[in-house]
Amino acid sequence: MKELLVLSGKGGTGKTSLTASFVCLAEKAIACDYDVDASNLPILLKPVDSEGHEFSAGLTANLDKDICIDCGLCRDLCRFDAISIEYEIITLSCEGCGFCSEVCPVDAISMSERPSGRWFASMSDIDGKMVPLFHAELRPGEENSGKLVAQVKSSARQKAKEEGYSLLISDGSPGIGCPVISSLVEANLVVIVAEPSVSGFHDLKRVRELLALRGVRSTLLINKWDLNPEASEAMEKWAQECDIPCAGRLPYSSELAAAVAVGEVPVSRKELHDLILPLWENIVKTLEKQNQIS
Amino acid sequence: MEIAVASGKGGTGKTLVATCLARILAEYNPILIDADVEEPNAGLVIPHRVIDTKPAFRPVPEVDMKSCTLCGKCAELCRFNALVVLPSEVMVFTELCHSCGLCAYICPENAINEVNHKIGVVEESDLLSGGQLITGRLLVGEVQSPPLIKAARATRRQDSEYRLVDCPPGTTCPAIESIRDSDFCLLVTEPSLFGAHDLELSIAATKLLDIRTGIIINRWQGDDCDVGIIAREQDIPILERIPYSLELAKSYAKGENPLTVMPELQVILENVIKSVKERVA
Amino acid sequence: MKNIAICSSEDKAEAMVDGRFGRCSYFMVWNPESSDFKSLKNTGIDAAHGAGTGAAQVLLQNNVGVVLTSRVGPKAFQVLNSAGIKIFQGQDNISVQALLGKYLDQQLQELKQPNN
Repeated sequence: MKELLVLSGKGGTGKTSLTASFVCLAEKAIACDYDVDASNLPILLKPVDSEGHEFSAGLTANLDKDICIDCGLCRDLCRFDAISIEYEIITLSCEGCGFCSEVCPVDAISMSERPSGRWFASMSDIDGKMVPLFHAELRPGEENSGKLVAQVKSSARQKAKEEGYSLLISDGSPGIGCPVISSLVEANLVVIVAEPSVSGFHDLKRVRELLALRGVRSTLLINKWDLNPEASEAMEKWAQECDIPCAGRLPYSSELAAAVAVGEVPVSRKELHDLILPLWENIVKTLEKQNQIS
Repeated sequence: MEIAVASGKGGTGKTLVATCLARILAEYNPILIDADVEEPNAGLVIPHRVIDTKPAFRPVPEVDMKSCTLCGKCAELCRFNALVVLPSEVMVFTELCHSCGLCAYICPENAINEVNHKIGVVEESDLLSGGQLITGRLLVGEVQSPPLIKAARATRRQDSEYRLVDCPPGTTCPAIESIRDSDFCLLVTEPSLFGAHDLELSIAATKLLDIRTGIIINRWQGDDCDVGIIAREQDIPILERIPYSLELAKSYAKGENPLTVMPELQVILENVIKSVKERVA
Repeated sequence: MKNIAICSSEDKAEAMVDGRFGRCSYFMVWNPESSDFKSLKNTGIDAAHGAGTGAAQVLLQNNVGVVLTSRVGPKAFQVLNSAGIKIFQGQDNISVQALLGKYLDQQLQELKQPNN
């Protein structure tokens, strides 16, 4: 089984629109959305049959005011300001470290599992082709530890194993923190979607640094290249120097923006299909080449 | 007054709005804080001069093996599995540590001291337009951003009437940490299904924090799409709409001043400041 | 003689192995002297972070000298390695008992670096 992960340093580069397009272009694949913080892939892939599961991560403190003797020790020792003057636990601030519960002289504080979100196993109907889709929703204010990403990933891989899928196409989360590091586990190739701007180039370099650290191969796709042709060229030259193959460029397209605005997968429109198909073919080639090496 | 500029998803124009507000408020010498420490981009689009760079730390345990009796209590109580007691040593995994201080407090032999672990830097700059820029920059591979955000927010060379926070996208800990103490939260979104979906999550977060909130629709093309529905349902005002402009996108990508390229942006954002002031007052 | 731990999906020797070290549901621990299995619940599995180091700590407390697993991360590897616990590359889609058999027949390779 191979996993293709689509990443970008910052959001808004067109990562999700492209991931959805690749899912449609692939012969047989499972789709995953690791952006559990703001899951957008389902907006385009429109799951028809969803099965939801509760998810909890870490712990949170609960204080029993009937037992509490107002000594203030917990409040003094908590580094996260999670206990108010009135001894209310501020769940949003609580890290679940259990310091308060450990030191409370009268055992008024207990720790319990922290409901953090939900994950979903669904099927998407893409023009009659049924594609399994895995995604999740983190509750607002919860920590994105990467555990929910790991949950989505392992459920998807389990399904792939059971039903003989050989390709996973995943929409990564933005940034370079924990969730991204969890997304990278077992990924075979990363498609970095970048925009040719000062900040886009900056983000690209940071993503590349992380991938180098984790030893994951990548290929570069420049979106909206014509917004800044000089920067596009500089990015491609830089990629060449770093031994990152280029999957290609996409021009700025109001058609693409229009498609996504109404929740359509870009490749369902002929013009966009013809633009994106060659990029997808390049990515498949790079992925296959990788197979031969590994 | 502190205004947090946030968004549910990345790439909606949060940094554009935050940096333009800083330019418009130049006469008040505003403090612009780039709290998007994983991808700090504000400094890339607003001219500034770096004055000082200070490392930012968080405390992590260090075990003195001369006093340690390998009793295992620290490892047993650490909820983050950051300490492992081996037959002849204690291993500390700083990247797992949340800096809660429990291990050092409960060690029966007082063998654990907390030492500083570098997680990034806080850069202090002067904005050439006037005011200051404070940038938090997380070390690549470091996973704990809230302490760095806290450090960046606490840094200032001198106080100002206006503080602007360019927040990380999303609704998780880093975003919450950036928004929580602000007087007002500006949510920048775009008129699409993605924008509306993520906006709804952001509004849930600002309601949880009990912070007054307003919406700016960026790349507006004559239609609020589902963003309008969400705003009505959630009873959050749409303060202004920034029209879509390819020219603006092109010049912004090159790092040019958006206010020069699109003069009406000045008026739009002045109106935003006015409405925020009215709502905070 | 030290015990042999195998990452398992359930608390019995007939169960299928679980490929992940840190987030496997159980460890089936085989005692070479008595030839008996006992099961250990992997308490690290629920941790938001540090499942691997938590799991390694559990094994350290149960006189384990060898671990059979498909995938082990860098932190857990570091702990196991420092504690002198040997790690052998397991297989997927095989029962705990069968994997132990392969180890005893010396069919498994020792893992010299983390692979997750």
